Amino acid sequence: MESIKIYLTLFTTSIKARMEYKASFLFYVFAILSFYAGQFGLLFILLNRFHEIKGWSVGEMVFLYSLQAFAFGFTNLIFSQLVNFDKMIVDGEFDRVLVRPLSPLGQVIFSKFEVSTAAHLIIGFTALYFGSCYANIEWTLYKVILFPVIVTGGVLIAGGIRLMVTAVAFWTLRNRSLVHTVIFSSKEFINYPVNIYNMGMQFFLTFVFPIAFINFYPAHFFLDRSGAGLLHPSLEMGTPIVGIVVITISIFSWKAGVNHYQSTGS
Amino acid sequence: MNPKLFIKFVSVSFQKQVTYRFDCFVGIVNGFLYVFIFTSLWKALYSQFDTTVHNGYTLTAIVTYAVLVMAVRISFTMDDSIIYRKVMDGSIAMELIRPTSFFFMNLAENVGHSLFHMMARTVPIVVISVLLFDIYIPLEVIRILLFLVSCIAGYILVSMMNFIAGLLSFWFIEIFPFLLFKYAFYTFFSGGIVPIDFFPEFLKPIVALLPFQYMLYFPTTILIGRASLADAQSIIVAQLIWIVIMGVICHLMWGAGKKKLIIQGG
Amino acid sequence: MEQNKIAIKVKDLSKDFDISESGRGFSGKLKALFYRKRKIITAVDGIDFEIKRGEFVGYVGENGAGKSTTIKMLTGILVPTSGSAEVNGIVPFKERKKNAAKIGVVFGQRTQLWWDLPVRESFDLLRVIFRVSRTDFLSQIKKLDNALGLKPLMDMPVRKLSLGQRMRCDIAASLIHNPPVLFLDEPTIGLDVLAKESIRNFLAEINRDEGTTIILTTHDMNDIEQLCKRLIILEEGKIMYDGETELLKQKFVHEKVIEVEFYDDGNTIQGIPGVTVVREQGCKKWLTFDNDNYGIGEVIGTIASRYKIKDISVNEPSVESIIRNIYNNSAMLPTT
Repeated sequence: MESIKIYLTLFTTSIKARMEYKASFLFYVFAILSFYAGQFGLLFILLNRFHEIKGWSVGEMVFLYSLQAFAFGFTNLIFSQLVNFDKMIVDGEFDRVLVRPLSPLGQVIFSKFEVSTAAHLIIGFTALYFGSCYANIEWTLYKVILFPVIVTGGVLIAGGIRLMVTAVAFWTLRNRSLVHTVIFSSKEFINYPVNIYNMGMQFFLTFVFPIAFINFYPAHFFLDRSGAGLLHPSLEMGTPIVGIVVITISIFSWKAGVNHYQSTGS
Repeated sequence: MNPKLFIKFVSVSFQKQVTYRFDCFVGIVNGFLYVFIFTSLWKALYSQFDTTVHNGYTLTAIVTYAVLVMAVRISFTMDDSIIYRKVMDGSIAMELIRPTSFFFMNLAENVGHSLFHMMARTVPIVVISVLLFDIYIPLEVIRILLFLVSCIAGYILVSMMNFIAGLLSFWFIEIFPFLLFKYAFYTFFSGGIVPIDFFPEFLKPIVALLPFQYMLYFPTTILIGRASLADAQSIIVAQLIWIVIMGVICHLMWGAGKKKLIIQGG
Repeated sequence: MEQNKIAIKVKDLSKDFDISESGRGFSGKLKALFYRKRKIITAVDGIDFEIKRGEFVGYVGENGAGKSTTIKMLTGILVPTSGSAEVNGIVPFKERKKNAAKIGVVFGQRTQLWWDLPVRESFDLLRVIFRVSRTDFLSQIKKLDNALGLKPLMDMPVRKLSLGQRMRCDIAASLIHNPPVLFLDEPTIGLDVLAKESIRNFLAEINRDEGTTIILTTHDMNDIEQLCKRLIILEEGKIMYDGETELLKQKFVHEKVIEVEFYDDGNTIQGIPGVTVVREQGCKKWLTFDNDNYGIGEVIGTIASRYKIKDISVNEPSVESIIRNIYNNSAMLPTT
C-alpha cells in the first residue's frame, strides 16, 4: 500500500515538472500531429492511386492505424523515460536510483511521463472514428468490451519490447540506435497490413517480434475479416496473452541487466 | 575555409562515429528495415493490378527508386541537434571568436557523419538490396557524374535545412518539436518514400514551391534514368538557385542569432 | 538499547572490472569495429577496515585508485568480486533497499534533486520515498535550515541555483531521513572558498552533534585537514595508510623544511650535519634536515651562530604535499 502512495507522489511530481514547460507542451502536441499528418498523407496518396492495399480498404487501413496509435500512445506515456535510458547509465544517474530504497524499474518509469502523448490519443480517437465509419464496423457489446483489452495487450507488447531494448544499455552503455530501430523504425512495419510481407517476415512479426498482434491480428476480429496468410483464427485473440508473455520476459531481462550493472559498473 | 582544416574536421567527426560499433551494426538493420518495408509495399500495390506501369514507373523502376532514395537518404544522415547542444551548454560563444566560418565547420562535421553512414550503412544496404531485389540502374558515365553533382547539391541543401532548424535554438528553449516538424516535411515533400510523380495534382504546385524535392527526389531520378541528361542539367541549375536562396536565409539567420547572443549573452 | 559500535566493516573486499579497449586514430578505430582487446583490472584489491560510529573518515587517493568503487560497493550500487562488507550491520549488495534507507549519499557532480522543480518539492518527494513521517520531516528540515540557511532557496527551481547553493540543498536532501551513515563523494568540487567553508562547518557540526558517521572522498586536502581525524589512503586499489591524519606526518615525514631569510644572498650553507639546501631565491633559502636524527633546536642554533639571520620559520608540510610525496616518492618541497 505504502509503495502505491510513493509511486502516486512520483507520478504527480513528474507531471508537475513537465508542466513547467507549458508552451513547449502544446508545441510538442502540434509537432507530433504534423508528423502523423505526414504519414497519413503518404498513405492517402497511395490509396488514392491504388484504392486498397492487399485487400485492405481505406477505412480498414485507418482502423488498423488507430489500434497502433492507441498502443504506442499509451506506451509513450508510460515508458517514455526508457527512450533516453542509456543516458542515465552513461551519466551515472542510475547510481542515484540504486541508492534509494525503492525498485529501480519503478523509479525509472515514474521519473517521466510524456504528456504530449495526448497527441497520439487524438490521432487514435480520430482514426477510430473515421475507420469505424468507412469500414462500417458493427460495434457489438462484445467488441466494445474487448477493445480496451486489446489496446492494453498492445501496450504490454510495445512496452515490453521497449523495456527489453532498454535493458540492452546495461551491457552496451550506448544503445540509441537500437532503441531507435526497435522502438520507432519497427513501428513502420505495422503501418501496413502484415500480409504485404513475405512469409518469413510474417512469421518474424508474429512469433519472434510479435508486433503484428498490436493491430493486424486483432483488427480481423473488429472488422469481421477472414484472415489470409499466416493468420490462424485463434491468433485474432492472441494479443493479451502475447502481451503478458512479452512483458514477463522483458522484466526478467531488465532484472538481469540491473544485476549485470551491479557487477560491472558503468 | 581552409580545405585542410575542413578535412581535419571531417576526419574527427568520422572517427567520433566509429567509436560506437554497436550502433553501427544496428544502423544497417535500421536502414534495411525501411528498404524492406517499402519494397514489400510497392510489390503488394503493383500485384493488385494487371497494368505493369503506374505513373511512369514499372515495378522494377519503383523498387529501384525505393532502394536508392533510401540509400541517398541514409547517406545524408546528420546530427541535426549539434547547434542546439552548443547553444544549451554555451559553447556556441566560442564559435563567435573562431576565425573559421561556423557554417563550414558545421558542414565539415556533417560530412564526417555522412561519410561514415555512407560507408557503414549505405554500401552494405545497397549490396544486400541488389542481391535480393530486382534493381536496374542505367550505367552511363555522364549520368552517374551528373547524379554525383546533383547529390552533392542535394546534400548541401539538406545541410542548410538542418542549419536553419538548428539556429532556431537561439530563440527557442526547445527545438525538438521543430525537428519533428522538419522531419515530417522532409519525409513527405522530398519524395523520400513516395516519388513526387504519384502525388495528386493539387499538391504538385505546393511541392514545386518548396526546396525539398531537390534534396532526394531529383538526384534519385537522375540515377535511375527517369530524368533525361538534359533534364539533369536543368535540375542541377535549379538546385544551385535553391542553394543561393537557402544560403541567404542561413546567413541572415546566423547574423541575427549572433546579434541576439551578443546582446543577451546567450 | 545496545547499539553496535561498528558502523562499517570491510573485510578483504575486492572488485575486478573487465575492460575492452577501443583503438586510437583512424585505422585503430576502424579495426576496433571488429576486434577489441579485453583486459581485467583490479580496482579494489583486498581492502580491510572498520569504521566506528561517529567517526569522520577521509577516503583519498588519485583518480582510479578505487575510491568511488569502494563507495559504490558500500552503497549497494556495485556487487564486489570477493570479500565482505557491512554497513549498519546490513550487507549492502544483498539488501540494497534496506541499506539505502539507512545511509545518505551525496555525489558532488550529480544532483539528486529534481532539476525543474522547486527545492521544496524535491524534499517532499524524498520524504515520501524514504518513508519519513511528516513531524520528523518538519523538525529535520528546521534543523537543516538553521544550519544551512535553506529558507531563501526552498521555492527556487534547482536549475536556477548556484553550485554552492545546490550543494547545500543536496547535502540537506541526503539527510532528510536522518541516516546514521553519510557518504560524500567530492562534495566541495568546484565550489568557491566561502561555499566550501560553510559546507565544512556544517559537516563538522552534524558529525559532532548528531554523531553521524561520515565517509568523505575528496581531492581537496583542506577538507581532510579540517574535518577528518582519520584518513584512509588508497593506491592502486590497496590501502596505503589507515590512521590518524596527524600521525600521517610522523610516519611519512622524515624531513622538516626550514625557511631562512638572510641579510645578504652570498651565504653558502655548508657543513651543517644533516642539512641540505633544496631551494634558493635571493636572500631566502629553504633547507631540509633529517628530523629523526637531529633536533630542531640544534639545527637552528647552528645556523644562527654561523650566519646573520633576518627571519626563520619551520614549515609543517601539508597533508597534500605528504600524500603527493607518498605517490611520487620525490623530495618534499614547500608549496609556495
